[in-house]
Amino acid sequence: MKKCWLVLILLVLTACAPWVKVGGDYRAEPENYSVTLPEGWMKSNTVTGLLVTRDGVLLQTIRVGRFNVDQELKNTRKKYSRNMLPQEMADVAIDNIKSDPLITNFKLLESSPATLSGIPGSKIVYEFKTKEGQLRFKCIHYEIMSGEWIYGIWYRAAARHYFDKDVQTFETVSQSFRLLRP
Amino acid sequence: MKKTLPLFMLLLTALTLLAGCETTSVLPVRGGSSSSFQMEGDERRLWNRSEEEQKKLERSDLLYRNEELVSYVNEVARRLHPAEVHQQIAFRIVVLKNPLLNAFAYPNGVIYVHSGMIARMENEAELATLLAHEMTHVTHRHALQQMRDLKNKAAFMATFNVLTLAAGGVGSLASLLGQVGTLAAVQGYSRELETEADTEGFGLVVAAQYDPAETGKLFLRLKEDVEERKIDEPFFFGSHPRLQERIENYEKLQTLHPGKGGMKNEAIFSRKTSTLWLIDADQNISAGNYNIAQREAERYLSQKPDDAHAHFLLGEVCRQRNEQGDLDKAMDFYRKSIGQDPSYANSHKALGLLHLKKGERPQAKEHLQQYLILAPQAQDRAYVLEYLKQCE
Repeated sequence: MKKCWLVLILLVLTACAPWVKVGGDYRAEPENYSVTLPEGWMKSNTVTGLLVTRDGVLLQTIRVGRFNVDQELKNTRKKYSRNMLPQEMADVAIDNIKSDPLITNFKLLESSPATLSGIPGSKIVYEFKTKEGQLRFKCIHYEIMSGEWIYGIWYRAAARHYFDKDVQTFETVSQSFRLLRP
Repeated sequence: MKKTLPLFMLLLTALTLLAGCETTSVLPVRGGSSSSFQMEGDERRLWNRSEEEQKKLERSDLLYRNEELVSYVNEVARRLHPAEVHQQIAFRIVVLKNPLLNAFAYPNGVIYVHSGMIARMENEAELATLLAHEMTHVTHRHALQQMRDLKNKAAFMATFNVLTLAAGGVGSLASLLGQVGTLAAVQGYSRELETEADTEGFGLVVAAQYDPAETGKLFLRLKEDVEERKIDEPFFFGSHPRLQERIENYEKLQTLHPGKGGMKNEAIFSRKTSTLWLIDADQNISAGNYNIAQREAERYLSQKPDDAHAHFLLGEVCRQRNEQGDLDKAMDFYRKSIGQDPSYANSHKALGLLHLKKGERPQAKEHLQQYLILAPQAQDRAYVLEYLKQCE
């Protein structure tokens, strides 16, 4: 009986932990995607969507998620629309980042076509500094549109050391991305 | 003993409150040897902190570093106070690249003005009004007063909380306010300080021979901006007094000098600030504020009708706004841009894309090829190569 309680408590504690260890296949049925996560990374239980890190959110994160095409964006009044070309989608994403009041020194390094789950989309690579800490981050952002949803995979890491260290891991994750119901 | 307890508690409360309070009344910096400015200890710390924050801003890409414009706005500021005041406070005006309407002063005399604010002004008298207001916050040491007021209120709240901890219902009132309520109650310049900055600033503008009738126009433009962006309150000058109250405040001040007239310096103002209009238009396009961007680009073209970049920005406004008839208008603007400057690469790309969307492949191919010739290192080269494949 005592053992049962112990197991139950452990289960509850694991479920409530802000970070849990992940690795391997990850299926997000409600969000309609699957992805293969790197072994030994930690997943946040406190944010919407999927966010994983190995060394901490300030050092590197991989985020996967989707939002409705009609959803208002945080920093710009621009919106996505269903007939947009991948480059036009990328331009909206770039303007949303550029208009973020919390970042400075935004620099677009690359904007190019890409595919996720066989769907043509966009890839942007950029750098920025945080307004507060003056930390320099480098990011990659893949994006596709499927029906009324925009799916995205983001990689953000400290530009010094960490970005290069985990960029290949991120590319592997992005290549594993699949829509469950295309 | 029981009778003396309430009296003792009252005395203790009064003593605790008095010990925690500092005077918020400080003398303004007026200039002249008789009233030389003596900085106080906590004020020195406030200045030091300001300098630290300014260093961060200096390192960022947020500053608009156009020397001609920066020296012009500083020259306007210099005219607003006698030299003795400038000797005591080294005023410095810095322009920030930001389309929001805002301006703020650090207690050490460094004043930040958003590019969007300047881009919305029409003459030097309006700029002088803004600067005079912010300079008054500095000369009247409003930041110091605010900090002391905040400390006093915090001391009061701490004392209040301690004393009311065991007081049941009264204590819960403080808890109800919570952090947000407490901050809302004590944060920002008070209505009195803002009104003082309005009144004193207005006096400086009039003394510098600017037209008093121009001073309130700033707020009308602010009102337009609030309506355009569909926001509830402007950031400009803090939130007190509210916009309408401020408009009324300036209207009252203007009645003191009916029909006085004075300098506006519209022409020089336009000449010195016009580059900001396009920078601001570009930022407003990114933020999706298309109508504001359109006005700014049109205003620039009214001064410089041959500018290829301004025509391109108008094309971008129309293409991205994409309302009825906008795409045709966009094509016209891109063509005008290329007409003014055939080597303007971005207009070729935009025109090529619109032709491609319309299924006009030969024209699309021509412009997209031209884009890659003019901008061989373009970051979006891979996209354009894909479009060119679609043109075959």
